Amino acid sequence: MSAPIAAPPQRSPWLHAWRDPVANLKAFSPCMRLVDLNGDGDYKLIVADAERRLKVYRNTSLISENVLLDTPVSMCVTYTETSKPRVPSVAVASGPHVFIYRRLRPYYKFSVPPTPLAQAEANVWTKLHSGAMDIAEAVDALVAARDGGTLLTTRSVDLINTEALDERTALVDAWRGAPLTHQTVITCMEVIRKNMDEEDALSQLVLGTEAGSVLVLDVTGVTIVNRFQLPSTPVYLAITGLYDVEYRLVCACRNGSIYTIKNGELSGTVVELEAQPCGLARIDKHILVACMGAVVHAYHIKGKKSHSLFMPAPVAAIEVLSLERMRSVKALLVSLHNGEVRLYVDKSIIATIHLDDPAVGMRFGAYGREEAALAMVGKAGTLVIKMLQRTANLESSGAPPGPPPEQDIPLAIPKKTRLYVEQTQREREQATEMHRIFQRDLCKLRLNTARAYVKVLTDGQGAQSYTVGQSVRLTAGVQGLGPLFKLRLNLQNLGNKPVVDLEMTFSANTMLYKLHTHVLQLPLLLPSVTYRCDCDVESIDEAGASDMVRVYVCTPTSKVPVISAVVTMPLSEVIMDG
Amino acid sequence: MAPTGPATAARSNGPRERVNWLIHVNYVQQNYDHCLALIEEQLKMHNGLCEYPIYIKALIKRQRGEIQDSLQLFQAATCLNPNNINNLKQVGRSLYLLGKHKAALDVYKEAMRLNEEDWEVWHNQGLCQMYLKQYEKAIDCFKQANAIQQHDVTYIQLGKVYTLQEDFRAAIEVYLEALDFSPDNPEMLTTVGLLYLRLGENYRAFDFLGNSLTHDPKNPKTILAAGSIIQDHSDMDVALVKYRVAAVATPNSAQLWNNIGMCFFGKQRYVAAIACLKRALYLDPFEWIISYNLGLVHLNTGQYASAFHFFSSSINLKPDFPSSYMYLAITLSRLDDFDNACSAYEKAIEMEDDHLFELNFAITLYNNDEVEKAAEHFAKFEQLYAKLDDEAKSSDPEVAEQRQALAALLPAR
Repeated sequence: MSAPIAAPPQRSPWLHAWRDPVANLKAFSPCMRLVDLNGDGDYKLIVADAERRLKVYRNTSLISENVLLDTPVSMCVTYTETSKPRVPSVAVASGPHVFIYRRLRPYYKFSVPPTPLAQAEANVWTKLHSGAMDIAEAVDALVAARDGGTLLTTRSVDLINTEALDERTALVDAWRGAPLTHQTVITCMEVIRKNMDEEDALSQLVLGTEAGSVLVLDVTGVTIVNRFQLPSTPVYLAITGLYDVEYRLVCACRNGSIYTIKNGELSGTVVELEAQPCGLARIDKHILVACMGAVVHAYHIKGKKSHSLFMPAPVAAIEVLSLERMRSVKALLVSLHNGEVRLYVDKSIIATIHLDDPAVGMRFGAYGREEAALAMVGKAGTLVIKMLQRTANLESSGAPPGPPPEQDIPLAIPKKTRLYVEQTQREREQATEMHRIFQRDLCKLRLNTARAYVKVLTDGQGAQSYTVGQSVRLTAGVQGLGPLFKLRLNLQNLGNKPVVDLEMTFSANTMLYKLHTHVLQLPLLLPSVTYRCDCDVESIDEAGASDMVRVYVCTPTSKVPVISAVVTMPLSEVIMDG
Repeated sequence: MAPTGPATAARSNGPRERVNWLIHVNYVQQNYDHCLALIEEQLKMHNGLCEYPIYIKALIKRQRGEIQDSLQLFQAATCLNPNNINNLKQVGRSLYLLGKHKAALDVYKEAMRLNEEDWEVWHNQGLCQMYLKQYEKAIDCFKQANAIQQHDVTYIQLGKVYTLQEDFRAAIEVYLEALDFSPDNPEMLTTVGLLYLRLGENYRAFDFLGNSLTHDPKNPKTILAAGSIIQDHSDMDVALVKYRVAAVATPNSAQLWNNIGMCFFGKQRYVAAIACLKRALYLDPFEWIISYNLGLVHLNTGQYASAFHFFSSSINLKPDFPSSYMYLAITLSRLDDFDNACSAYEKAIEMEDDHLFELNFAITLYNNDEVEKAAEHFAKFEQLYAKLDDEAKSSDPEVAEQRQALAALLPAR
């Protein structure tokens, strides 16, 4: 037996470092960072847990846990000073605020300013509160403003959508005195380095808000230095370049489009996706965007599509693997909902990790003293850390991937029995004879069938009769429990000419049944009208035995009945004497 | 409910859009249950007056097949914010899915007033027109969509319209253009392959199918198409290996088992062939080609009585395939039913002029001592045979052999 030719087993470039199945973390990629928290070269994993906890992991243990004020949206690490040692600040965005922590202590809070109001709307409310405008007029003015393209505040939306006047009045009164503001919230946050491309260089926060604006803060995180307005709410940001030199902000938005901001200007190239984006990354000149349809598209930075990677399951998270070793390597990590984490270099897949708990959050970076580690948080809260082997070969071989493993599963060919084989032998020897016998029997069968059919048609025992030149149909039923029964007979002429001169007779065992009518003269049967006739039958047997009653429909011209029916009578209830 | 609710709620919990990001993240992560719970909480807190949660709820409902509900929700979202083109687009999409294509087109016209340069609006209009059988309009719409921005789906649909019009060349052109733009979309590669197959250009078809398989080696449709071409080139073992992959994905595909059966037939493993074909017949009893193939295998194994049954059921299912009649005739002649064999041959010849029909008829006639008529049909065979090109002549050596034998036996005319 020859052994199947198998491809040499691919060694996984990943080393398993640590797994905590009961870490009970709830975080997506934006809320995970690998960072040198104390500036001593010992990298830690910080996770802003959705349960309002800021957790810090070092090696294989949780070393600190701080309470957060609100559910975190995103967490970033910034360097705000040039002093040594390089100690970063941790910025946690939640609601309209960014909370900045230094050495894990609350340090400063930045709040996103309210969105400026539309003048028309502000006027309406001023007039409404001052009494210069009544509610109906205000609603009309607000609807007009809305239809004119103004984005209204929730307060106006509420007013427009409240129907009853007293409720509207109550709403207006409730808001009297409260300033009309349109507070927005943060939806995503990233950092951009100011003027040096080093990991611990000065960096600035970039915020995306629900109102569709992108804000760039200064290094200290106190003032807004730049503001861009997008047509939709940004949900993912990918940033390259240096703020003082040249930069690009790539923003994936909720309307399924990707916008680019280049050196302070919103560029005209827009990528419109087929499905909602669920992850965004940048590798060199490519924008990589994962979409809900289990596909990762790669677009050139100018907006032209370069290629697509089709996945076997929906994408849960994507992350860039970037390494500066002998030569710089950049690869894409894609986590899928079926538990796979795939590593792609360009278009070819290099390695796959299989997890029990699909990773919804992923960060690649330095951890502990290891410079290339991958931290993953699973859907069920598992924390897994893998390390990239130092000798791992991340060159794409360029060769097409080998055959799928299914190719080695043999086909389940149905088995045939020995009896079958013997019978085929017999057939081979006597095929002609078998065929003749079969044909003869088939002929006989057909003949018998035809005969039986003709008989049914002519002797009036079928449900339909064709003998009077017209087809007549008879159905019979029995009603009653006994001893008195009623036979219900329905007659229908299915032809297209009326039928005359028909009689109906009944016959039964006179020892058992007494018939109240013996002959019924049938009326003219018009086509397709159903006639009903009844006949009373009395059971006279003391034990209530049952028998059949025959019904015949006859014409004076033939001795064969036109049609007949046999009614099987049910057992009769017995009359108790006395 | 107290009307002061919204004001106090808004002040104490921050702005109304506070959890929109969380709803979005859960939606794109496909945690639909959790997402719906969040949305319900929001709707309750704000008396149902929040646009984005309603929008996402409608998307989830639609994904779950509750299209009517989703339509109502999208309409509610549109009422809250009539200037959001996304709401309108989704109203149109739900109408389209409900089969109300005309109504959907009206909604898209409305959406066009908000933004003319939206590929999705054009694309979806094209879909509606396609279902309304307005193919020319559909083509215009798809082209317009592509002019705004190129998308795989638009190309696929455009190709589909051309295929519906049976303009396969134009369809292939569209797909080739699409492949320039998105070179390794396995779905498109397969479609192009199948179109070439339909046009009879097997080599090109195989190129594309093979290419598709390198990207998506597990697609049963591609495997079946590629396998059938491999089989046509008598490379049965390779085809069988390919079919193994498909058998895991679609173990109940009649076509697959039919092809597997014919692979075994090609390898002359008749029992396995019959077993596989019978499974195929069990899975799809009304597929004529399975009966036809079973007939062929039984004819080869000398089980003429069975072969007769399979050929006759194949003819009952598809009466317009001339070769079935010829094989039925051969079977009948082996069963010594000369009269019926002759009428079957005549039926086949009446339907199509084929040299094989004439040759086989001549052989049968000669075997039954009808030398005169045999010579007549042999002459017709010679006429048809002379018209064939060399490749067709040399493809089956048995034909040449029989020709020589008959020529020697029959008197020259």
